[in-house]
Amino acid sequence: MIAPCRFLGPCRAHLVPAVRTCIALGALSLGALFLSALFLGCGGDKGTTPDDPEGRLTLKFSYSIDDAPLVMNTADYPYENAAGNEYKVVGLKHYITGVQLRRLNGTSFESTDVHLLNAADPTTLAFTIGQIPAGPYSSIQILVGVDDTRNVEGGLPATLDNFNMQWPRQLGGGYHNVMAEGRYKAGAADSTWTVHLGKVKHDPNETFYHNHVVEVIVPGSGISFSDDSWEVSIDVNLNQWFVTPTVYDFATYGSFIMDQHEPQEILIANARDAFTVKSKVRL
Amino acid sequence: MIPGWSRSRLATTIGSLTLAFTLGSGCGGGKGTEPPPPPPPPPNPDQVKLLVPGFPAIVQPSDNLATHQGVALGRRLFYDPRLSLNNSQSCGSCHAPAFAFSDHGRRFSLGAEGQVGDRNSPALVNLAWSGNVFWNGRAEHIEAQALQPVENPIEMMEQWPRVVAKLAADPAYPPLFRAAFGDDEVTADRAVKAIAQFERTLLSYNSKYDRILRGEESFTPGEERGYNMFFTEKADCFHCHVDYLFTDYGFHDVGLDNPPERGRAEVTNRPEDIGRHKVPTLRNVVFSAPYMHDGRFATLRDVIDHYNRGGAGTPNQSPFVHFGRGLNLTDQDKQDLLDFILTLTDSSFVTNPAFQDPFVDGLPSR
Ligand code: HEC
Ligand code: HEC
Repeated sequence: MIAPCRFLGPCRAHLVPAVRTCIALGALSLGALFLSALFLGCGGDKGTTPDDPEGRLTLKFSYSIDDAPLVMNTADYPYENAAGNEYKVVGLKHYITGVQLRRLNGTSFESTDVHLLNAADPTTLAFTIGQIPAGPYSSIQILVGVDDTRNVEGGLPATLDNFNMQWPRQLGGGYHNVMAEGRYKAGAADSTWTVHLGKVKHDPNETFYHNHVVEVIVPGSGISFSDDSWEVSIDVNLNQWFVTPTVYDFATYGSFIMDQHEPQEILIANARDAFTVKSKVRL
Repeated sequence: MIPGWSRSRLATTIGSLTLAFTLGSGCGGGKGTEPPPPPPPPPNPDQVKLLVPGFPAIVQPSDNLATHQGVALGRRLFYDPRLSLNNSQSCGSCHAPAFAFSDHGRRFSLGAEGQVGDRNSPALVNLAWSGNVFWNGRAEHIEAQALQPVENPIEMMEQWPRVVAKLAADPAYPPLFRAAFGDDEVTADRAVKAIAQFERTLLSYNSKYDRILRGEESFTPGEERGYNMFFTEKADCFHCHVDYLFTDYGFHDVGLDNPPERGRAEVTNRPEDIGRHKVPTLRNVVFSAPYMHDGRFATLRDVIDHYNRGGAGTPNQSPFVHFGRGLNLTDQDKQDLLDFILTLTDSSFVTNPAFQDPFVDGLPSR
């Protein structure tokens, strides 16, 4: 039960008492889970030591529909997905709680900071990871959503923003990993779609709730650090989220998918093609 | 009963304590060259602790941290009719504690000269977490809000300089301002700060629902069915009336027409904000009828019927109010949902002695 404490590995010396607290709480699993949430920014492997050169990576996210920037809250229904649904987007928020920089030899450097990105609020769409050991990295993998250990009630810091992302305990508790919604034209009528990913039982007899996070290795994201800063811009094409491998039809799944594993599974598989690198700039 | 709840709540509490200890030092600094974090400032014994275990942290404005003296002054000002023309009306006239600080069941409030307003007076419950206030959010915080009713021509109709003169002339006030702000000077800025401090103490967290979460009581079968509908897409209330606070403090269009109002767009002028209004908390909602920004619904049952119909399909209607489809609730479902909402009733809030009008206890110079 002290597994989450692995995040504490690279924390610095004056935090040792807190590490002890964590171990002492080992038996109380949720306490330990919560503590792990506090040590945001502890890398997945050794960070740098004082004299090593270190890299800094700023990730910037943007959202688009095919080739054009996403415009939310339009009066009309400007977008059409692969299933032929004409739609508009009203809200789009998601967490990123893991950024892994992978090396060709299979090792990696990881940041587990919690970021809540809100497409409607540009101030939330960029963040910086520091203390990246110098050297080449073959790819960036991001975890869209809240990792399993922290996706429990009270698993993230008690801020209003996190509370507003809660996933009901009736459905497994924790937080929405992704919360996107809008309206679409269903024939002459008007209806609603929601892409809400979170914890869902795959079978009513199960006691376990599967946590539907999206793990994407962002294509073309290889990068090499010396003592420098890079900015990588990642674009998320929402329309592509509804295409491959499975065409996602709002008319089939609509707006009540929080307790259905099938649309959740389709959407996590489909998400992988929605993320691309738009630019890589040395600052 | 919710299995496991108290454990996770404990974790939250431990977490927030630890957070206070580690914040600012961060993790993975790694270099060991930064100076150690400065010692925390000595605690101010006058400061009021605004903390509700299990709820989000309360972030007070750094230039207006609540103190016992400030809250006491604010309470007095809140109930002082000298804030209005003819000394006829206080904040408490339209925000009465027995009605969860709403206006005595009135649809529209009456101003200092009996003129009728055009908005329903909202309950003042758990404002400590609130950003923008008023139905259209035109005040950025409760300090800014408290300036407005005094000079509003359909409310208190007074001028702040005259209010300040009236208060300064009352020998009771300058010492209270000194206790709260360091010297005798009475200013409008200090008055609204004190009122805001008092309003931040209007916290409700001891309803039956809270006691159930703490494992002290249990739901009736009907309440539990309502609870399960509320927090699933069956009734889909939870995306806006979010758990614990029962509001996200945001603005949404729930599909009210006749007439469709500009709402939030009165402030932002953005077309997508037309029809959006501030989400009220459902804590203590039983005390604050009638409902909605214009008090159009007399009962909670009317409100549930509205959501059940799926709204009127206004241009900006939220996807969480299911236009066209509705909720297909049976009469029993509606009753169960109502029963759950009533578990959010906290009578210790409406009767809290610290919230009542101090002048009725025979305090001087009304
Ligand atoms: C004449 C009746 C009346 C008086 C007097 C009055 N209010 Fe109000 N109050 C209202 C009404 C009506 C609204 C809603 C107005 C709107 O949103 O446009 C309101 C809104 C508010 C809100 C916003 C709550 C929220 O959640 O958005 C606060 C806070 C508030 N009043 C505090 C006060 C204070 C403090 C005073 C005294 C300085 C006061 N009121 C005096 C009627 C009154
Ligand atoms: C899209 C967000 C949203 C959803 C979903 C939602 N509400 Fe509301 N609720 C609001 C807003 C906004 C208001 C105020 C609307 C207005 O006055 O124009 C409100 C008002 C209310 C009120 C009146 C409170 C008062 O003090 O006037 C009640 C009761 C209520 N909602 C209950 C519910 C129930 C029950 C559900 C589920 C069936 C629900 N709401 C779903 C946003 C929402």
